[in-house]
Formats: sequence, C-alpha cells, structure tokens
Amino acid sequence: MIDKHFIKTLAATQGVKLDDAAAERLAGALRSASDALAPLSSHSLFDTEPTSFTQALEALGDVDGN
Amino acid sequence: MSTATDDPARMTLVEAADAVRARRISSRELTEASLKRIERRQPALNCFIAVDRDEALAAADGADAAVKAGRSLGLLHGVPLAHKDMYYRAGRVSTCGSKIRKDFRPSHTATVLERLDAAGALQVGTLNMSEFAFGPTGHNAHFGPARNPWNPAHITGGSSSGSGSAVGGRLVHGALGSDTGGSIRLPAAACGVVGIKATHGRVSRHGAMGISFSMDCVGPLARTARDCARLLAIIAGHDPKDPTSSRRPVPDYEAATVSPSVKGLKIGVPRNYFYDHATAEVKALLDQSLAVYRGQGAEIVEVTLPDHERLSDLASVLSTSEGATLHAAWLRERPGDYGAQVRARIQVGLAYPAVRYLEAAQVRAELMRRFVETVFGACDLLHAPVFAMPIPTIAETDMQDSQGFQRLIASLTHATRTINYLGLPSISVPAGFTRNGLPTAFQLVGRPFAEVRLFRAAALYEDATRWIDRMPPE
Repeated sequence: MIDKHFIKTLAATQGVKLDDAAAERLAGALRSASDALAPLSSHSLFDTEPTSFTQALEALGDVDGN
Repeated sequence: MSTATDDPARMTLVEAADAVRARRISSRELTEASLKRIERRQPALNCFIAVDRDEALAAADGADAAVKAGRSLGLLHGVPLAHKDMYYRAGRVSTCGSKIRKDFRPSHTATVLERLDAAGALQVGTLNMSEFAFGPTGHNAHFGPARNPWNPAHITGGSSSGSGSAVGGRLVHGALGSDTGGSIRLPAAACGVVGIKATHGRVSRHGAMGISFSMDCVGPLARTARDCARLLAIIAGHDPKDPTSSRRPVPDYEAATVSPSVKGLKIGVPRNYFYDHATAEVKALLDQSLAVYRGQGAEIVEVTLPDHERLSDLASVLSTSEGATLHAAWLRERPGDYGAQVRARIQVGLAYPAVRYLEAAQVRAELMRRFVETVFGACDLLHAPVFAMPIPTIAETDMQDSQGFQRLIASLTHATRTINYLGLPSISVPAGFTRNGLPTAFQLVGRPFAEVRLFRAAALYEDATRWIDRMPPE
C-alpha cells in the first residue's frame, strides 16, 4: 500500500527524514505516476533499452532541420 | 525586417553585432549602455546575481581594439550578454541560485560559454534563477524573485527568471537559459521575448549545472527569432565533452528568419490537453495568432494528441528521480539550506522506485514515435499555449511548500513539461498582451531537429505583427 508510512520507510533507506505532510504528498505523486504507467508498461517493454530514445530522435528527425 | 536604431537599448542582438562590425557603434558604447540600464533597472527587476562591470568594460575595449586592427570578427563581436548563473566559468563563482553553492568556483568552463566567447560575445554578469533551476515562477528564497519588466509585481516565469527579465527589460541583448520542464519558454513568454528549447542533444550540456540527465536542454532567450537563431547556431553542435550531444551538422538557422514564408505550411492545433485550463482571454489571443498564419498562407488543421494526459507524470518521474540523485547528499546533510518549496520538489524523486523510473525511460521512445507519427503525419508544426492564463503576480504564486503548491506548479508547466519528455524542439513566440498588461505567447513544436522550420514560422509571425517592437515601461 502506497501511504505515508511506506514513503517514510523508502526515504529512510536513502538517509532522508520526511515529515507527515511531505510523505503524504510524495505518496500522492507515486500513486499518480503508477496510474500513468500502468496501461503503458503492461506490454512490449521486455526488449526495450532506455537509451533507444536518442536513437529514435535521430531516426525520426528532419533530414535538414527544415 | 530590420529596425536598426542608434539607441542601444532598442537594438536587437543582430543589429548590435552588425553595428559593431560596421563601426557604427563601439563595443564600449554598447557595454556602457547595458551597464547603465542594469544600474537603473536592477533595483526594480532583481534580475542579476552579479555584475562584472570592470571585466566587461575591459573586454569591450579589447573588442574595439580588434575592430580597429582589422582582425577577423566573430558573429557576436563585442555584444554584451549575461547568463543564468548555472553555466560554469573556471574560477568564477556560480551560485546555481542557491545557498549551498554560494561560494562554488568550478574548475572548468561550460562548452556553451567557450563557444560564445569564441564568437566574440562579452559577459556582463550572471543572472538570477530559481534555486537549482527548480521552479516555474522565478521565486528564489535566497536571492529574492526576479521581477517582470512589464510590471515588477508579476512573476517572470522560471526557472530562467533573470534571463527573461534582463532580456525583456533590454538590459542585455541575449542570455542563456536552460529548460527541463519549460524553464526557457515560460520566462520568455512571461517577459515578452523569444526563447527556444532545441531538440534534446542539440546543444552540449558540459559545464552546465544539471537537474535531469534525460530532459535538461540549454538554449537562448533574445528579443527576436533571428537573435535566437544566431545564438543557437553558435552554441549547437557535437561536443566530445558531452557524449549525449548529437553529431548532426548544424543548419543555417539565421537564414531561415530572413524573408520567411509559411505558404503551404500545415499548422496543427491540438484538440486535447493543451487548452484544458486555458482562459478565454489567452485562447482568443492565440486564435488571433492562428488567423495571422492563415492570412499568410498557412493551413490550420486540428490534431488529436496520443497519450498526452500521461506524459506530465512520466516527465516528473524522470526529472525528480534524477534530480534527487544529484541532490541526495545535500538532502541528507543540508536539508535546511534549501528553500522550502525546492526541497519539497526534489524530495518527490525519493518516492519513485527504480523500476518505475526505468519504465518511464523505457516507454519514452515509443511514446515519442507515436506522437511524431500521429501529429507530424497531419501537420508540420504544432501550435499551443505556453502559459494558459494571464501572467500572475508574485504574491499570488508565493506558496512555499504549503498545500496546493504542486497543483500550482503542475498548472504552470502543463503546456511545456510534456515536450521535454518527448525531447522535441519548441520555440516560444510573443503573441500580444492580456488585459493586465503582461505579455502572452504561443509555442511552436516540431519533429526532432526541425529547428529551421520553427525559426521560419516564428520570424514570419514577428514580421507580420511586430509585437517585439514594444518596449516595457520604466
């Protein structure tokens, strides 16, 4: 469950202390990101290197910038 | 179209450079005029962090000596600029708008500064910015907010707040900003100048303070599209010191701004996302700008953007995870040395597990490909707002880390941040004034490396409307 306790524990593993308000806020951000990713990450990522992004930019770019 | 004038404050960057080369004005005269305006306007605008008066005048005298000696001159010979205080110059303090780095002296110089130096530009000082470049309003807990030259009670936009204010206030002829979620385009729009975020990788980031490896872009703000074209042409291109920089040759951007045409160009207007929060007033001004393009022979078409509602969250996952990584040691050891809102924003990155971060990076190429094929299969350029509302006041947006600040930030960056996630080029173009007397703007977004097309369309609109000739009140 993504709540303030989970977020506080997560931050503590990184050596950072959070108060309740900050932990609540961060929990909301994580829930929102998870919702955004859910339908996108459920398929076709197995063979995808993150660095393919810059190659895709080059491949889809205008030939002469025009 | 040229509006050459003898008043240095009214000169565009290109006019100033051409006047020095033609000996119509000396670099010292230009630089003294800039320094006088800084002295007069800095108390109201707070756009400079440091002014290098003596160094700038010495450099101007050197530039004038070179002109007299007939030496080969660069494209910015003797022209005074100033830059966001996050571009490193060896041995010179670069605060990054922070308390933590108030005495930081880098050991190396940013590639973009070396390239501007080689083109003959002068640097008269360093410019205010949001702390560590986090923040779309221009607030800064340590140096105070930079203020809008059109009305100092209003925000400049951020994070390149001083860059927008100094160029909009005609204190310098151009400035570097940086754009991770809108930080060039927002202050350009709020301060009535042109700003371009080029394609990801087009400009070297060596020696520039980082926020997000995946989304940071370096770029210029200046009065006109042609000014920005000249600046971008100088700073763009592969840099062995930045392995992420593109090896593509740099086109002649400036040529695209001379006698531009948009006949036959298809300009896309988004059916979804970008106008979600737009006020009627801003929408009406942007509709007028589309009418100008239509009158010049462009075709206006509606386009539906795929996946766009998700992109803002994905951009946040990348930028805050990477930002938290860069700031991890200071978050542990010096949390009290951050402004409250900046600390709260950086902390967000602590919440995303590594798998979520990598998923956001993995889907990026596919989402960008889908966007390019769908949108630029139907049009040549996308036309969209920068700010969806009239520029607010500093007081209205001074929220520190109180409840609701995230909504404010999300609202201000709604139209810009997704473009950074997609890595696409975008130029902010002044488009008139709202009833509160503040500027507004639209952005043109292109497919990767389509900067020439952006400059051509921006210059055409400038020539047709001449919004850029208006001077802010004093």
